[in-house]
Amino acid sequence: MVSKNMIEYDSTSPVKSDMNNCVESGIPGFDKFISDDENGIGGIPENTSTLIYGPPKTGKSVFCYQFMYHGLSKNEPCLYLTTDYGIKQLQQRMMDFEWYLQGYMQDQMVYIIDALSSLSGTKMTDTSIYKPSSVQNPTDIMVKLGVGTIFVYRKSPKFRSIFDSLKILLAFNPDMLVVRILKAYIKRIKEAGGTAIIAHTEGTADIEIEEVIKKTADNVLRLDGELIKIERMPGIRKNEAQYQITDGGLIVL
Amino acid sequence: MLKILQVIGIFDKLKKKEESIRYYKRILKEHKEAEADALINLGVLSLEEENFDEALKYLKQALRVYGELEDEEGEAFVSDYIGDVFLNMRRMDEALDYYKDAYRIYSSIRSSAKNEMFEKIKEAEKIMEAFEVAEKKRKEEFPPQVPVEEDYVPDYEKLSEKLQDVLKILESASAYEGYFKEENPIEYFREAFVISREIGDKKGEATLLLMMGTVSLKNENLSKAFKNFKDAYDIFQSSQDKKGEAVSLLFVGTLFFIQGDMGKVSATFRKSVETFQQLKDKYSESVAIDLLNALYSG
Repeated sequence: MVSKNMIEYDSTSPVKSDMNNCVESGIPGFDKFISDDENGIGGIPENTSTLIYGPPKTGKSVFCYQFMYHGLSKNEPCLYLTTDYGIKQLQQRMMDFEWYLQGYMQDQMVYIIDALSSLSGTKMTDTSIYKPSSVQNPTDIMVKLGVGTIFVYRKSPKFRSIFDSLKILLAFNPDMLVVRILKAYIKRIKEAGGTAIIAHTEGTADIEIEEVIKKTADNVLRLDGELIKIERMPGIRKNEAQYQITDGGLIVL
Repeated sequence: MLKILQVIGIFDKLKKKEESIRYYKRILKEHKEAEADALINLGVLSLEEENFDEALKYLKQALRVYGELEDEEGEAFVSDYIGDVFLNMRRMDEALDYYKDAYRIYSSIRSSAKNEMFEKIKEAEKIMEAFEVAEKKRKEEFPPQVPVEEDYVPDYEKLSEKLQDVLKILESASAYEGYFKEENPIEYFREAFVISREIGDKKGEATLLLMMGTVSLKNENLSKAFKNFKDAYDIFQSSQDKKGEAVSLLFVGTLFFIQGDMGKVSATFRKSVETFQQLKDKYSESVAIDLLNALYSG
């Protein structure tokens, strides 16, 4: 049952970027790259939403894995909504970088909503930290997200959340419905004090919708395979840097 | 000489003042035009998000700005958009009023847009007619009251279980099946229903209404069940979900059976089965026939 006693959040208030409250990304070079000139303290502003977008195969999901894994290593739980890969593929893809999720799952540090596995007809078993859902059933995703948010919040009020990605949802649902799902997702995570990363593959929605998606998140970063660009991050000037995808994940040069 | 120079100076000043006034008037006009543009864009974005009240608020403000600018073409342009908002809200009379305003203005300024507007009015009138026919038909099909036959004592628990089986036709229902086993299932359904409304998941919303209605039926709250089933039918119909429409007719038909109105039972089940046949959905067709057999065999 989703509790209604969530932290009050005024969605109309502007996002404050307090650079003293940043979340370490775990991506070498990235936190320095997005540090502000004044304090030199870097990282993703806590309790914000960040959209990572770009063409396919440019490292958006790797960014997500790395962000989650670093948080887990620092005892920050993670709520992971996966719509691009099922749980097994997710674990396998992370293992390619030697990031092992199983132990954290056993410790209940990660809560996974898998909206993809059911598409292949695989019957997945519901556990306390793994919830199968379906990209064709957005309400169920949001119900499970509500329960999951409370689960990770109880573990630690400082938690991370990943939504990877909008692509498959856009293929199965009307564009505006996906935008509303995204808005509701961001609202839920921010209400509970979490820091959210959303991955989106460029070109999978109409140009107008892509613009609306970009406006929905507090921070916007674009990955094009060579450069990572800050398109919007309150308090941080627009900037770009080269990056590489290595065996150990992303590295910002 | 000095006097002459002073007079020239005054004229220069006057000239500068006039120029300044013209300049500021032009700036003011440009600002107002920009304001109207921004209001229209906000209105259109709100319309796209189906936030109709917001859309009307912005567009009506834009209409006022164009009125102040005495820009008739702008007024016609905005009136057309306001008409679109009302059309989306199914408030046809108001939609037509605004379309007609736009047409009148376009005609008076001899704009080529008037022909397009004329076609739009004709189209809106056709839609209005279709709505009226549909509404009349709907009222005939679903009377608001569900009187229960005195000599028929249905087994509500059994009927509710049967309807839970019917729900399996809808893929979206499987996620919520577990709620039926909860101590107070209606709370769970209601919570999911609120979320589905929040994100505008019409299919989810209608499915959850059918589920809430099934719980109400089990609790012998027939008027509530009927309202839920009818609302689900309306949502499926407005989102052109034929399968959902056919499934909800089975629920409505079951209630007609309880009330003993066999004519309506037959009409709703026939319509449902015909829809499944059109969709070539043999499985759902067999579920519908099974339900009807179960009702008649008690």
